[in-house]
Amino acid sequence: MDMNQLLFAETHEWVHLKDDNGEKIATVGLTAHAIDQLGDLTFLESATEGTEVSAGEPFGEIESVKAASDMYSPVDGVIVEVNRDLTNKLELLNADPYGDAWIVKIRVTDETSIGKLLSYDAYQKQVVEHGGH
Amino acid sequence: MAGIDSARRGYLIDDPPGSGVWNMAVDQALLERCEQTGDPVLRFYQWSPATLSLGYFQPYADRKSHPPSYHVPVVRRSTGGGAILHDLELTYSLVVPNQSRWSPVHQQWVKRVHGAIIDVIQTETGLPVTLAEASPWSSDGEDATTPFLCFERRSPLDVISGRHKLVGSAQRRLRGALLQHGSILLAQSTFAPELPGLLDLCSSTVDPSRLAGQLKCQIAADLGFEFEPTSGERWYSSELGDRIKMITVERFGSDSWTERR
Repeated sequence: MDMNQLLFAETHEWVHLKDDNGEKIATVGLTAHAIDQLGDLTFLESATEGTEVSAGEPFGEIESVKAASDMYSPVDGVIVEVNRDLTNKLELLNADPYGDAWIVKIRVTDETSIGKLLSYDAYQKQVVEHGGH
Repeated sequence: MAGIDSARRGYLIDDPPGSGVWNMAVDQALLERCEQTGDPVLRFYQWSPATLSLGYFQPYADRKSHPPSYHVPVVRRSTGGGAILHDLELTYSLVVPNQSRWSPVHQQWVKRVHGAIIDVIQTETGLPVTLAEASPWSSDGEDATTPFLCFERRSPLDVISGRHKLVGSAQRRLRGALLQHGSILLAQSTFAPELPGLLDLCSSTVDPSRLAGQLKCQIAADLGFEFEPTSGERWYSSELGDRIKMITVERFGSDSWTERR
């Protein structure tokens, strides 16, 4: 995966955008930095297909070392596909965070939400300077 | 990390026993308040009646696997981990600002609270206690081999005495704040008879009231905040009380929340 093809939320979700008959489909996952920080993962659960999500609002949850955390949607849209294989293969998050470990695909309904996402360089800078949110 | 070592003001609430639904709604409201204000709050409470709390990700149906607690009220926590039978125990909740929710540095809050508890137990009772180092089972998720009860599981930083776990904590992390719950098992309950408590393991007589008082003081002292004792009752009769009522209805008092998994 060419990291420069991805966009990033301040909350450590990555986004890969693809055109689909004039609509934008956002594939969403967690960054390697976030996964590394989380340590041993025990659960991951996301909202189901058809759920409307808003940028900055929770779309799922993840548990590690007895800590439950929300995952935040990077865009406004509707979830059109959930990676159900991931639930039982959390090791994929470490093995292939930007590939097989995608979490949901979202049909973007408001493209202005995309404009608030960070480039790879800007995200890397955030990680170095602040550690993120 | 900023916040952990910097002394700042916080609030200390020592509440009377309450129901599981009430206690969880108060903690959630305090977490949301902390996210808005940045104010740390340390709260102590007990549960009346005795209540089973499920970890956030635990299946509701799993409570059938534990007959002694089957008929006590049940509530689902927002924090992770295993089920806890809250009867003869002391619960603390801590809400603190959270600048990087993924960071493992947040385990330092567990380490700090558990360290304070170890100091008090050793001083007050002489019972040898220590931090657990590793889990004896896989960390790949909850499966048939994972014990239902939190106190039958082992995670790094649990407080143990020999093969008995006496204190466990778990967290819920939002973007701007985290909630840490912890349970200190004081004595064996008829609803979880397989779990001896701290007082059951002591060879000498220990005054439970004094012990609880010392635990509260030491935890507050070791967290690095300047805690101002405050009246929960006064807080809950304000705007926060309205939010607690709403959270009760929408979440912890709702069957759809409790039985969501």
